[in-house]
Amino acid sequence: MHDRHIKFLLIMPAFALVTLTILYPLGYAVSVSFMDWRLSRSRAPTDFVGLQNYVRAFTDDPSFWNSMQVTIIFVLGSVLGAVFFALLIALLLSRQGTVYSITRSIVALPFAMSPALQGTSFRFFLNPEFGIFDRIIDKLLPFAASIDWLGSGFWAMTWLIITDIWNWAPFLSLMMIAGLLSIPKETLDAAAVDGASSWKRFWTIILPLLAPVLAITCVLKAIFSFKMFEYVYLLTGGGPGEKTSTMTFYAYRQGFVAYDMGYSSAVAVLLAVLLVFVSLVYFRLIFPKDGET
Amino acid sequence: MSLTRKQTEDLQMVLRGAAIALVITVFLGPILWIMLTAFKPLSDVYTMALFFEPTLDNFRQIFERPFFLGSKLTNSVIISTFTVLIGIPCALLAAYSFSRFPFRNKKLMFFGVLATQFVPPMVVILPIFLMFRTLGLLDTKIGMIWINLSIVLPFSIWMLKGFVDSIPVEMEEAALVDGASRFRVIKDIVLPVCVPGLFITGIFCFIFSWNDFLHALILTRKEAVTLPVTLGSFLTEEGERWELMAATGTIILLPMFAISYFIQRHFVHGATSGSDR
Amino acid sequence: MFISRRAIIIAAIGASFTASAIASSAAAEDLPYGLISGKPYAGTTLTYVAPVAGQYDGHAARLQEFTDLTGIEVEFDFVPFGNLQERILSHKVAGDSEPDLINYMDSWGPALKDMFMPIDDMMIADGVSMERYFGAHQQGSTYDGKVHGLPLRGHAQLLFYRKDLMEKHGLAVPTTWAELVEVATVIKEKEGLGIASYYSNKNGQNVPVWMNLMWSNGGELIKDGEAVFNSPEAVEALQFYADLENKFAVNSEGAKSFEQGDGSLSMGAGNSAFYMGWWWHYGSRILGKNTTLTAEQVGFAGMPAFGNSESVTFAMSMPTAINVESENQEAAWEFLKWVSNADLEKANVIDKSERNVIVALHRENLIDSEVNAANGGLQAAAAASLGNSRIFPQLDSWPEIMQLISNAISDVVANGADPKEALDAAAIEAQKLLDRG
Repeated sequence: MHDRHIKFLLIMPAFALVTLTILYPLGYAVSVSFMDWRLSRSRAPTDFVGLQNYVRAFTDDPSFWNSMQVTIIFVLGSVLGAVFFALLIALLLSRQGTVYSITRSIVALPFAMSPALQGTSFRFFLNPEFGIFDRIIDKLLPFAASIDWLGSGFWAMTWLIITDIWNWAPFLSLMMIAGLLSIPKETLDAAAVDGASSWKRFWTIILPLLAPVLAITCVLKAIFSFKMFEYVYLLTGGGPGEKTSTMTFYAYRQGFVAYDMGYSSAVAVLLAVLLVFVSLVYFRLIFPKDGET
Repeated sequence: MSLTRKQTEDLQMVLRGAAIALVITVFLGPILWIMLTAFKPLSDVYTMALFFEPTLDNFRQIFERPFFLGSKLTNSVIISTFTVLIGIPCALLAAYSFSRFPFRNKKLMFFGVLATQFVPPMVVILPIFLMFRTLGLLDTKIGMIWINLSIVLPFSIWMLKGFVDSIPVEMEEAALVDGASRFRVIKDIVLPVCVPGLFITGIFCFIFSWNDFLHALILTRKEAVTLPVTLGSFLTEEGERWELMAATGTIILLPMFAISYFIQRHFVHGATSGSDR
Repeated sequence: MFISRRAIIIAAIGASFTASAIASSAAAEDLPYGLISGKPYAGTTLTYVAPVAGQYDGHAARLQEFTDLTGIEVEFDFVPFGNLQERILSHKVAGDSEPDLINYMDSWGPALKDMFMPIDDMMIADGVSMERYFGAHQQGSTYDGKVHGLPLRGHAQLLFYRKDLMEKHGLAVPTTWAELVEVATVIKEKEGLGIASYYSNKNGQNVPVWMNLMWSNGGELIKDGEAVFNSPEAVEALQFYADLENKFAVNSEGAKSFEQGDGSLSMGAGNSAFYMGWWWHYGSRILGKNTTLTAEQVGFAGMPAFGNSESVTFAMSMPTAINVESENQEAAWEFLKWVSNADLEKANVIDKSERNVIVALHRENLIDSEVNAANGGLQAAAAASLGNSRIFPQLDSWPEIMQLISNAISDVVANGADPKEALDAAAIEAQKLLDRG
């Protein structure tokens, strides 16, 4: 069979499975964003209102602007944090040996934790009366003993980011380890023989070879950070005030608290547009010429 | 005074050991604390107690009315397993195609694959619900497998493409010149080298379908209800039942221990095959 | 098309009632609770969406009685409470005939009422009266003067306090907020225990206590389509509510981020001396299996009043309604009559063998001596509180307006925002929702 046909044949199964379930709901959501659909009034979208929902977001809704800022802070913090710690863990654990392989299997566990359980548990861990995190921090850093971890905007956001990093860094590190372990040993050995320091080896050999995997982990993490919902919902409820009210959380609130599916969809579409924008910039930076072959 | 080579190595060993201990504490600690909670009697759940009379009461409760965890456990296992078994081969084929063949607007196409996941699920859940209702897929395991596939496949393709990209094409070219078919090349050359990547992607698929909550909540009623929905039901109107969540969470984590065992085995295997070539 | 179908269904129900009335007068046996004898709907299986809570579990456990009387089977579809609303909305979007019955929270009612069947005629025919409930619980499922469901669960707010500590220091139970601050200051100083206030804005849960203060101070939420919750009375109430934390410093540690459940846990663990909130906390958190406190140590009273006026408390209910599209509406009504009857409720509240249910709504049960004996007199206190209670405004935009107010409260307490500015900003946003019509 000719490559021209085979390349489509290979994509077909995945394509068929994805498009049917994704494109219809996606198209539906986008079209709803141009309609008036208040679930409290009608069980189906009513009128076409053009850009009204979008105009409202940009000109008439301080909470929307706030949610955009909150989202950007959260995404920056969680993506950079998770990738950074993942890389550290990966470099530490990408070696042969029983201790390393056991540690690797332990590290796989946080990602497997159900978000509902993790969110609820982490909130209890921060409780000033019986929270294990709070207690340990009080012991290690006595000056921090009186901080109400979820009671100020700064700390609530910090813990939201930590919760997310705790969940994701291990999995991202496993992805990187898989990448590191497929770097041919000879390449590393050759560099070692050349007398390159570990630091230099990291920058000149390991990092470039790891670049494709790193790029993918960043994109993957960014998408999930933009869409992250459970931890906001369970840990902070968007508060205090609206200090942790992300766009996803806000879209949820508009849809299921305010019953305004039209506006909720518009917020979600704007989130997607933001994601498209961010990933395009990112692609330009990382792969200046890749992919047009 | 400069250190001898031996001393430097010793110091490195100690530092590494400390770092590993820290990693284990940070990531295993909270999990162990939750598991400990699962065995606590209610009087000790909301305390710092390390020593208590362990009880299996929480586990007994979750398997009884109204939670009936047993049937949901079966559903979860079936749905997640089939999601992986169907998803990974499909994703590998697509990833290989994207990695090896020229496409017009490849970047755009590939970007499109990912862009399907840009919208938060709660916005598309109602249209999915309506579609499933029309197709008669509500409350079926097949429906749940399908919806999970549509979520994990785009990511899997992405992840696997990265791994396929890192395999040198020369070996394949030699085989193709010798007259091997594409499928053969994928099966005999790409697949073995990709094992670590396949595993990590498989775990991703498994965990995502294993933990999927929103779709299961809206799209299932009684025949295909999964574990996370039960977990959600411990967030009751009368506050959280943390001890029951912890017990369920412990059960949810059990297959993960088995999976982690495979991870370590296959990483070793993958590493060896990497150095062999 | 839609309307005519509904009309036909209602006509059909009317006809069936006439027929059944004749049948029942002919039949020798008379069933309790207004149930129709002769099992006309035997073999029907109803589906019922309800949240996970002891109350409903107790109903499910006693279901056999109903099936024996009527031959109707009921399948309980237990949905996590946190997601009950999403689930109900999916049923609304679908417009399906299933489920036949839905239990929901009263504040969602105005947005969901189209999918519920008005039951006034059937109530009159079978002698079921809303008078058996207190005012707040009657209003919770009544929209535009029509009853759409019967409350099966509902809550009153109470002030819980450490009786032992109050007696130790010779303090009287506070009846006003000013007294509460005085008493709490003494206890905080002497015992180191504060008020377990909760200011988290998750799901708007910091709003009800402020509403008591505000109503008691003569404020209103919404008047003639105008958002007036930024009135001087309301601002004063919020200032005071925030002062508990920031000026009087009588709260327990963590109040700024506490949810209501954290507060009652704190009291149950002996870390707080006061707690204001729903009565169910008494049974499951303050004196639940998680605590070492005894009934002698914990007292309860109505919510304190603010200023010189009387206390006005907020109450909520969870009614069960019949799906307007259901194909088994007559059978569903039979079930509703049974599941809401006073005897079942009483049995559920008295029987402590499997679950500790404290919630009763029938006036007669709330003041019943057996019920009160089994629950330490909690229901009688709640009955007093319910006597002067109000509910949320019945607007479909209320849940979002409540969230706006809740965010404002949290902003003031945790982020140091000015009460007037915060409420003004929330009122502007609320007014936009109200003006949209």
